[in-house]
Amino acid sequence: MSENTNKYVYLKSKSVVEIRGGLSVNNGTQKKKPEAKDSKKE
Amino acid sequence: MFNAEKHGNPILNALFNTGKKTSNNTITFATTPYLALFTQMPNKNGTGFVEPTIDEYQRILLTNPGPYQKQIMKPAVAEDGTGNYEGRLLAVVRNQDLATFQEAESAAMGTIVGYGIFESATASTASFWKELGQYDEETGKFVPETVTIGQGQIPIFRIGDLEVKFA
Repeated sequence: MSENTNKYVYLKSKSVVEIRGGLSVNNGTQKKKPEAKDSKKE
Repeated sequence: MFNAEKHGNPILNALFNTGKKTSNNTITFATTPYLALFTQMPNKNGTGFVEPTIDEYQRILLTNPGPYQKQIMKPAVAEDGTGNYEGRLLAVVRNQDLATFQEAESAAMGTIVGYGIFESATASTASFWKELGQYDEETGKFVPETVTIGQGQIPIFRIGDLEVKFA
């Protein structure tokens, strides 16, 4: 083995910066929220 | 990943024109991007990282020429000049010259887990960072790959091995 074996050590980084998006569609199947009850005390 | 706390709002304001002042709708980075190595990755705010502590270690100014006298980082250009490559638009920057750090002469540098981009040689908050490694061609998953730098060794990003792509 030569003196310089492994003298250089190689780094590697190949990365992808992902730009993600999420689209939410209201398809009309969502349950209707119950109407707010009268908050007045009895 | 980008430092969301530092750059997230400026990027979003620029995209959606949502800054209160016109000046808030543009984003600029320092013209002195420095490449650093990490033995411990930053937290989400770009702090909390650990760089090698030996005397010889120093960040690399990426606008400087490398050993082949080329500016280290360069946008990737499609060979046909149309901006298309393999059916996809390119948004890629990679190194066209060697990114060579100082030899770990006095002691081992340790196990390098990733790199960061800083606005100066001494900035304490990273603008961008990523682990060492690459994507598996079959699974598409990022496979981290740490590298241990012993005493007498020189860490190098060979040409094309420091790459960031937007997708």
